[in-house]
Amino acid sequence: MNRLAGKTALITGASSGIGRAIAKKFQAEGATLLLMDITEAVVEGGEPTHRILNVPFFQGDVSKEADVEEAVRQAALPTGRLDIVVNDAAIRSAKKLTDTSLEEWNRVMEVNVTGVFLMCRAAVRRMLTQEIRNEARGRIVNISSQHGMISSPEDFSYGVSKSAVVYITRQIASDYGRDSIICNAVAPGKILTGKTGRAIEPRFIDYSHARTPLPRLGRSEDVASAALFLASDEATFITGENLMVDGGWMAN
Amino acid sequence: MRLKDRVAIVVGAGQSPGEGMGNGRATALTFAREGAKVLCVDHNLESAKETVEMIGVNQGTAVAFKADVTRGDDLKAMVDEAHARWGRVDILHNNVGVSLSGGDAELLDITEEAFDRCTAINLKSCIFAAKHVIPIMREQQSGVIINISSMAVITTYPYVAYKATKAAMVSFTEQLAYQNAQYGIRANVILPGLMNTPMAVDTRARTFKKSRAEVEAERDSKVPLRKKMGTGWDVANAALFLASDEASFITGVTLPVDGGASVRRG
Repeated sequence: MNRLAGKTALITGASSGIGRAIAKKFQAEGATLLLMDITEAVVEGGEPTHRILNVPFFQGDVSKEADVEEAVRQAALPTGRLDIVVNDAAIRSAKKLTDTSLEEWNRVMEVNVTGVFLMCRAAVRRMLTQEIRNEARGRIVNISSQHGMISSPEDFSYGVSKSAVVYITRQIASDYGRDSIICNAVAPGKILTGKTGRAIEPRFIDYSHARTPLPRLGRSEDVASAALFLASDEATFITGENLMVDGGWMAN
Repeated sequence: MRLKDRVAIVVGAGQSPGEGMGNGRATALTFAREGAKVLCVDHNLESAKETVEMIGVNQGTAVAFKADVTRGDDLKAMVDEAHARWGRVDILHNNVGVSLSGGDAELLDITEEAFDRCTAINLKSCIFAAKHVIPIMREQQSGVIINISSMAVITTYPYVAYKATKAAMVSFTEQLAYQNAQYGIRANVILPGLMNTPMAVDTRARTFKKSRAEVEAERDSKVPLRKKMGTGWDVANAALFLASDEASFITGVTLPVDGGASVRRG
């Protein structure tokens, strides 16, 4: 289990759900970690991720430029490099177009789009100063969503923001491929993260089962495995892609 | 080991004449390294045997099998061989494909014979291999099929049969995925981009009477990532991920392994 040995990774949204699963998997594969989140509280419950893994935690807001710059600086401190950034932090508004206030829209865009922009910018600036190692100067894995490709039920601003993440991914891959910076996204389908409330309302679960060809819905670990693949040296000729982890939903 | 005790059939596990490592051979070696028993299938038995020898050197388990993939009977015999020998079939990896070497050409130049031949090798083979393996996988309630298509599907490509058959493989894979998901079977398709493989580089060098280095330089310059083609190992690693349990919620996807060719502008 050493597919990320010698690599340093910064993971946003790392306290809960998919981000927590990615943090656990990356540590198991030997990465040096800095976890970032706006809170250490775990949405699905349990001990804070950074305590379980005994790794540093940076409490910050990805939509704040200073927080992002500081997180990138701190992430690179132990090894002098930042090899991997995973942009997992995101919020929802859970409103239809006609119910979405400007404030709600703005906040979703700040976290889900501006946050990814700021982190990618800080990370790529940093990576461009690093030497190429195993064919990459650095890698970015953005967590997008199938929403933005298909409709996000009753969650207008979330779907819009996630389609922007896919575009950001492609643009960075294209502009910085020559510099050996690799940038991909993972698009989860319906993932049962342990979150309660709206996420597991029967009407959404029934809808998800009806649309997912595989017999089960997704787990956070499914997304973490895809992120691991794209963050590892096994994926050195894949860039600009949006890898769906959706049980066949989009092929259906 | 990520494929411990899995039984895999790699169709096209030999390779075209030339330098370096083809996609099929790299995949067979990778699957075997990760613990799979591999039936290495090729129309050129000698080339398949070379792959098996390379696996043997590393203490892996593999057997060579000769098949003409344009014949349904050969594909059935191939599946039966793996099943009889090892008791199950967990992975079917369809790697065969021809373009120039099958007589593929631009529209006004292509002959019916060449088109039929390319279609039989590229498309019919992957469909009939699936037809024969699916009953076994349904019985097992598990299995993975990986089809190797091409970035020619998305980007510009001059010759008719390769473009059309590789595009059809994508649609077929999606159908395979949603019609067999209920049985726990996954199907995904990889689109290799510009690769530094014997089939892609040496075949062109021979056909266009250029040096290998010339063909390499021309192709390298078109790749956004590092201005360098990919290798058979890049495809093999993607196939390993899709074949393993790590991808157990991934089916029906089209995964380019193309150094960013699909996002290239201008």
